[in-house]
Amino acid sequence: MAKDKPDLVYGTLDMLILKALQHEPRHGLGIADRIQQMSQDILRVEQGSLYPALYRLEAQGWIKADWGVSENNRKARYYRLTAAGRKQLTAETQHWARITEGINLVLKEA
Amino acid sequence: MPARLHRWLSRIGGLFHRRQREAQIREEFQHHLDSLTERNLAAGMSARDARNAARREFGGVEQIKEMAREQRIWQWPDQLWQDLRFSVRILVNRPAFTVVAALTLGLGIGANTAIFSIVNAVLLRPLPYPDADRILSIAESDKTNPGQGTFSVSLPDYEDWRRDNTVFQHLALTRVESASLSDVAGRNPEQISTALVTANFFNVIGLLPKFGRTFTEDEDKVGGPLLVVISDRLWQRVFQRDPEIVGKAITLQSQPATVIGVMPAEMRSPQEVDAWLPMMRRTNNGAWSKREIHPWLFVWGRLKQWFDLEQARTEIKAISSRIEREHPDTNTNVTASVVPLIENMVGKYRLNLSLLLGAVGLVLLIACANLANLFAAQTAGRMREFAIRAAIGARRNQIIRQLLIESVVIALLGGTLGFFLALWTRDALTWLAPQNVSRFQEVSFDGRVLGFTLVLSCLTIGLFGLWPAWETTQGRMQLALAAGGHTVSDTRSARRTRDWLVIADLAVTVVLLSSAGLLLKSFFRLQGFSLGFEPRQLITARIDLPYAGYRDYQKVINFSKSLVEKVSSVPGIDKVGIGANPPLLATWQVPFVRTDKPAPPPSQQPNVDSEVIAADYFATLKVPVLGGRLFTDRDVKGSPYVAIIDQTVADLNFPGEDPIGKRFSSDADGNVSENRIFEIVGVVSRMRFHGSDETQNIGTTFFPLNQLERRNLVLLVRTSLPAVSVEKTLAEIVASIDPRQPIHDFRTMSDRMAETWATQRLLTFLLSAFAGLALVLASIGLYGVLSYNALRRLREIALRLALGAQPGQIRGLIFRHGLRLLGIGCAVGMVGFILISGLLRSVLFHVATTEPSIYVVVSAVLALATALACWLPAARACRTDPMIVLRDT
Repeated sequence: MAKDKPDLVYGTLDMLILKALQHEPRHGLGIADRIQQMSQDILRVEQGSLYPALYRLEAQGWIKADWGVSENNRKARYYRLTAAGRKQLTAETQHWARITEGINLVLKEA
Repeated sequence: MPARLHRWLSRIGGLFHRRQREAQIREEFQHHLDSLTERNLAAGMSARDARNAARREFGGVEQIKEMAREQRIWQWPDQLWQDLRFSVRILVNRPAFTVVAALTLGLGIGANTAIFSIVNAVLLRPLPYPDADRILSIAESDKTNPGQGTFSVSLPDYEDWRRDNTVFQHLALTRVESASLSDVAGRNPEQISTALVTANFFNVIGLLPKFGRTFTEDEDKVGGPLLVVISDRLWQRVFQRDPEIVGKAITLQSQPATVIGVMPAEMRSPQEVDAWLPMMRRTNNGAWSKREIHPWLFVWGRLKQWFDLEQARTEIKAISSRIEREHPDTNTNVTASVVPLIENMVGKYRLNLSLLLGAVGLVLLIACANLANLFAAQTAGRMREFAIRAAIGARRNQIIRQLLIESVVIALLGGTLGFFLALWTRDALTWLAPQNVSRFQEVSFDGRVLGFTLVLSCLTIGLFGLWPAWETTQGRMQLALAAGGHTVSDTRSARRTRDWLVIADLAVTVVLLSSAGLLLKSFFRLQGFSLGFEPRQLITARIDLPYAGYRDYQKVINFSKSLVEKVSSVPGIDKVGIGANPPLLATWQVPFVRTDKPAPPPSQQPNVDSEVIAADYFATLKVPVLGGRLFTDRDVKGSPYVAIIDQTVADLNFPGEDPIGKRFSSDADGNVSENRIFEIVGVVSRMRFHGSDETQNIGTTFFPLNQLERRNLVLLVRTSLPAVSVEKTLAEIVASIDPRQPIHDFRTMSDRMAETWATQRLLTFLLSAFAGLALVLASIGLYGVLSYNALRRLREIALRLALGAQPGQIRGLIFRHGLRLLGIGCAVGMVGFILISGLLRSVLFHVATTEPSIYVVVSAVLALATALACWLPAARACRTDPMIVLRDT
């Protein structure tokens, strides 16, 4: 419930969501499932973090939502990447790579 | 578009599509939940278990919705609205608190708004002339005696300035006079105020006439036609808005004058005159061409485009210095004073109004301090409520925000109340203000005043809302729940701040009370000041005989004789006298040079105030005669010229001698260009012609009307009859002697004197009112703090009582606290007052700022108020039943 998460985690979740939407549009549950699946069960996204993040990304214009029909014939809200979103994904991925490289270098030092 | 901006816009947009977005969130979550449930069902759970498991997995729906909502819809308007409704409900449930708070603030803001509206009308509002800040007013002053103020200029000096300056586009000359207006169909003759002006005066002002035109420089010369430009007011009042007025002839001073134009209503300069006449026609007066004569001429100038006040000042002063060098016998130490026109008109009120503004600002501060304490006390009692809110997730900022909204509501209530209070008192204020200053009478509540009120309300919120809100939510909220919510530890800092707020209240009150006390004393001194004559039951009026009809001076003498005879014969009129100077206004000064001693050079000759009298002048005014004789019917033109001097002239010029029989030379007779010799025949007691304020008392010399020519007469009548009937009678008498002659400016002497005090009266009354208000507020503040402290210490007091303390000792506790606050407050206040008392010096009259009686009285008053404020809480504290209190907590 704590709103004041460190920015690193915020940014990371955003990036994962964008990645999950890279190839096809998904609805909220689908995105959570996809992230869980891609990370081989290491990462589990809470709904409490998922939806606020989704709405934030939508408000910022990186993903766009439309109503559609889900696999079980229900009305669901599907999200997909916008062009700006794709660019943001690339940027964040590169940024992440550099950060982790730096962190690894520090940790490797005895 | 940058992502951040996009996000903001989206959230604001969410305000408008609120319902849609709510529905959308709800549906989306519903879908998620349902999908989870289905999965669980598929995994083999029962329907109920599946649903519950799904819910658990999802998490707190409402909370997530809350967070989700924050992202999609901008929260502030909703939160504010909620806070507002809550605050209003809280305030409505505590009517006593709300009413007291709103009233206190309303009084404070109302007083401030009222004063500011006056300041706005008088000082801040620009003049209605185009580019009015380029209009300057020039007078002359004495370099060695700057305190004396400025005096009028001489014609040759003006001509030099006009010829030699480079900074002025136009430099004009004015002289305020009055003239009789007669022969208007259906109207009695009346006296109107007029001004002689040079043709370029209208260029200086910058206004064009409504109809017709103004006179040109060609027309404005000796021997030129008598043309007149009239004011809009005159056109409406006397000429009934006659559309054909331009070109018509009217009778001024018994001479025909042609109206050539009507000025628009904004044209009021100089001094609200009703007609403008050409100046230069009158300059064939021999006296005016003398550089040492300053015949009430004043200079107005309009600066050229690229020049400013400083440059103008420097240049004119330089020209004056040059004149001083070239004409040392007349212009030694004479320099010029150049000020912007508005400064000339209202500069003298600046100090008074600033004092008032300062005082009323202090009152507002007291009100805010009280409100802060009030709020603090009230919110401290709500600790339980805050604790609960914190427990279910409210952040400190949210609680503070809600408390601030309460302050905002109070401030808005107070501000509105204050604004209307000020509006209602407006009439009373304009009545109190000096009558002859039009800017005072036009106090309006325009946008600037409204804006001022709003700003003030907002400031007060910051002053009294912030501290209690911040202080009470200082992170002890969990403790409050634990301790049962009733008794919360009272931090040292909170107690100290409360105490210091009350001390500040008391100190400010001391300052205000002392100032008011001094002003009151000064005002009474002013009124009781011995004027040297008896002003009561004295009626005055003015008769200005026109030169045209009274060229032969014998006619003037006959007129005055006839007037005095007829007026004296009216039953009920005791004494009649005639003078030549309107009382309480400045007089004509003339040189006074003893003939039995060597004469000093002209610039060092002593001057005296001069007055020309007839009939029973001294008896009417009840001025005692100290020696010699009064004027008789044998003192006429052709007989030796005589004069009567007052005690001051005797002391200054004939110290230790008997002045009767001695002679002096003077040019008091304006009719001849050389000096005359006068013999002193009598001495009278000193009179204060200039009214109560005088910077220079050089004494007065009196001359007989039969010998020195004067056509502007002042009729003085001593009678116990009511003024209205006397006015009528006098008008009839004058009309019976000369039907074309108006009598004007009819007033009792007491009224004249009251007018000279008008500003003092306003200042004193208002400051006393504010001091009284401050006292009330400070007492309430003190009372509040003491009862609150007593409340806080209820347990301690109950314990003491239970352990055998006497009620007197409990009372003593409270009183000691109160007295300590009083003592510190008084001390701080006294120091503060001594520091600012210098400001008051210039408005006080014969009262020193260190009058001990003031301090004694103020301390006594404050002690009394404090005693009252302490008594109630002390009495209540004694009556606590220890058993009830101790059981309760």
